[in-house]
Amino acid sequence: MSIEQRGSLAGRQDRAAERPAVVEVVAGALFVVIAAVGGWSLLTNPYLELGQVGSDPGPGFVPWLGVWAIGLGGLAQIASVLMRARAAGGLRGSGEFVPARLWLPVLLIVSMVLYYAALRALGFIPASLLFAVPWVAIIHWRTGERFTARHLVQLPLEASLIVAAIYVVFHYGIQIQFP
Amino acid sequence: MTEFLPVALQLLTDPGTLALACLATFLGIVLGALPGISSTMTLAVLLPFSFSMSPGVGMVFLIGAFYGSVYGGSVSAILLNIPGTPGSMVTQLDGYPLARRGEAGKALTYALLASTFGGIVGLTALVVFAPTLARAAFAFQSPEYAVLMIFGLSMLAYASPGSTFLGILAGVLGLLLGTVGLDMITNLSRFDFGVSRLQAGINLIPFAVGIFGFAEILRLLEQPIVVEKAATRIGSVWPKFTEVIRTWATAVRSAIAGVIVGIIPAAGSAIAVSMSYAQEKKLYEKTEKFGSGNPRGIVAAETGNNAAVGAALIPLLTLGIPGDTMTAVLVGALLIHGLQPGPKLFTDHPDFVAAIYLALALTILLTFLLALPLMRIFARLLSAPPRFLYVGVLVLCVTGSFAVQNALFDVLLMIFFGGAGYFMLKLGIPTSPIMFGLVLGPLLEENLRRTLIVYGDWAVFFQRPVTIGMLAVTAVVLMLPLVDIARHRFWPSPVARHD
Repeated sequence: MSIEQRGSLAGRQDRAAERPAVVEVVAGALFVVIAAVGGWSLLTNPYLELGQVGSDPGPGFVPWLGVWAIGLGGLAQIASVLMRARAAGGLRGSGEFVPARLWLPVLLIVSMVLYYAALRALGFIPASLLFAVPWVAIIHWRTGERFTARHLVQLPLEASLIVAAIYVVFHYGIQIQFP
Repeated sequence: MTEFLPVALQLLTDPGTLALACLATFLGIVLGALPGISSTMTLAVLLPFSFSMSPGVGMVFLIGAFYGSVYGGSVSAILLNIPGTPGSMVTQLDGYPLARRGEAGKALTYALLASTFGGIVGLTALVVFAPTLARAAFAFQSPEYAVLMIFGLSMLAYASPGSTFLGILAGVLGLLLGTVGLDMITNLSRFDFGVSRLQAGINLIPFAVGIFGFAEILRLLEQPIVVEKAATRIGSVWPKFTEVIRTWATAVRSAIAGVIVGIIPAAGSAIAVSMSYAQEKKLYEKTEKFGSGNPRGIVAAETGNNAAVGAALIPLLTLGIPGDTMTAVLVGALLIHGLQPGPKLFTDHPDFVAAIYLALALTILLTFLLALPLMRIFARLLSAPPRFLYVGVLVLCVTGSFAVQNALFDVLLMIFFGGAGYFMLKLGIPTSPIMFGLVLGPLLEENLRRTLIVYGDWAVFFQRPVTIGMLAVTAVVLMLPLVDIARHRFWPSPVARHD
């Protein structure tokens, strides 16, 4: 890890003139949201009151400590970034959240959720094939290689090989009972 | 030491275990060599294979993959100029220029010899220091353990790549995730959001597979995948004996640096190699040129990198604190087999500790024996189509998460944490501290509450020398970001002043 990589709250002070990125504010906001959700979960649980059993601070103690820490920490992060932004003349986009970069990862997340649903409904082999065949083709395309007629056979075959190999190792080798 | 011998002999004479060790080492080298597949990801996706093995054999398998992947990282660094793992990022500085001169074989051999030497020194450090530290840790009671967990967590968050402040928040988030489910004292459920499966808590394996496997694939898919052409001309693999001997002092210094850095929780191999390389560059700045194919550069980086492997196991085995993300995944493996890392491991399961020593020794030997004849095959594998690997890893992420408890819910958790981890990385939030928090959080809570129940109040933490010392160091670590802010505000750097 280089010094440059350590873009810490403090480390970034080095570049006083550089405008902080919007994602730095969003990062702080994410912690605040998580703290709010966690706090709501603790507040709505009547059993998690503090200091109920002798000197034991109770099951809510550490969760509350954590919720307050990340909530206040998130607010501190937002405040720090906004102060830097004010000094530097505004915030800048980081280029991380653009559709050109995001669409394929998002498609994969959606595919994995569908894969999970298919596992329940169809079982391991059909669901895995339904997932693996298109993704072998997508990644083939992502490497910039051309599609030829032989790929119509080769790519599904490769996907089947991957699924079969994993099934054999897990089912017969490790005795896992797949759905 | 003698009580370890029967276990060692039993493992060494079992052909199945030896075959498994060979396979794990081979898989480790190949996966570690592939760009984009880190050692942590290798371990996370191979971890489920160890479920059906006995704890000892499982460790042989996992440590084989772990150590193999650390060496494997240098293969792509030398042949492709892309580090396979963060620990090999410095190896490429001198390894790739040597490969471009048609001496890739020599560069790989230097890396292998240095890895082997570094591995042996790391193993020696583990065997010598771990039992001593474990004995010292036996004097620890719940207050010391509670503070130790806070100390470990703050060190891990501080040393993680990216923002220190966000790293600390991520560590606390991991700690919160560790509290999900039934409380161990009162049996009350926390953060279950009405989902009964969450009452059992968040399993470490689906989390690790999601964060280090699935999230990495998501990141790799952001941009077109470039299949690099490996330096196909390996050339002679044997450097001159006199040339090798010239680098012995470098190897010794780098191994010592690797061990020291490796023992520090979360410092990790990337820091070990940077330190080793910088140290040699400084020492030889007037007589030798680095960055243009100097074998000393390869030796410094690889010795430091591999010495850190054995050393990183020391805090894990003796204190239960993972040395880096790879050893954090190993904690998951230990827990799956019903073993809690910490000093009791040395008294309750000495056979298991022996298996770890032996596994590391065996893997160092196997890496040496396998890598030399298979160098040309590894070079070819680097040009294999990535679609095989990526889809294979994705299906393994799903099957591996499912296999932990035969539960589809774990698959859902893996997808959730993988997706969340990916977006957190994009926001600049380091994700490895979350893993450390998840590992250390339950231990921290248990020891903190036990301390308060037994001793009655918080004053106990300020009455014991060990807790005072560790709290002081923790306070310093946590204050460093603030000190930095103050330093930059009141004593700006010359560049900032100029601006």
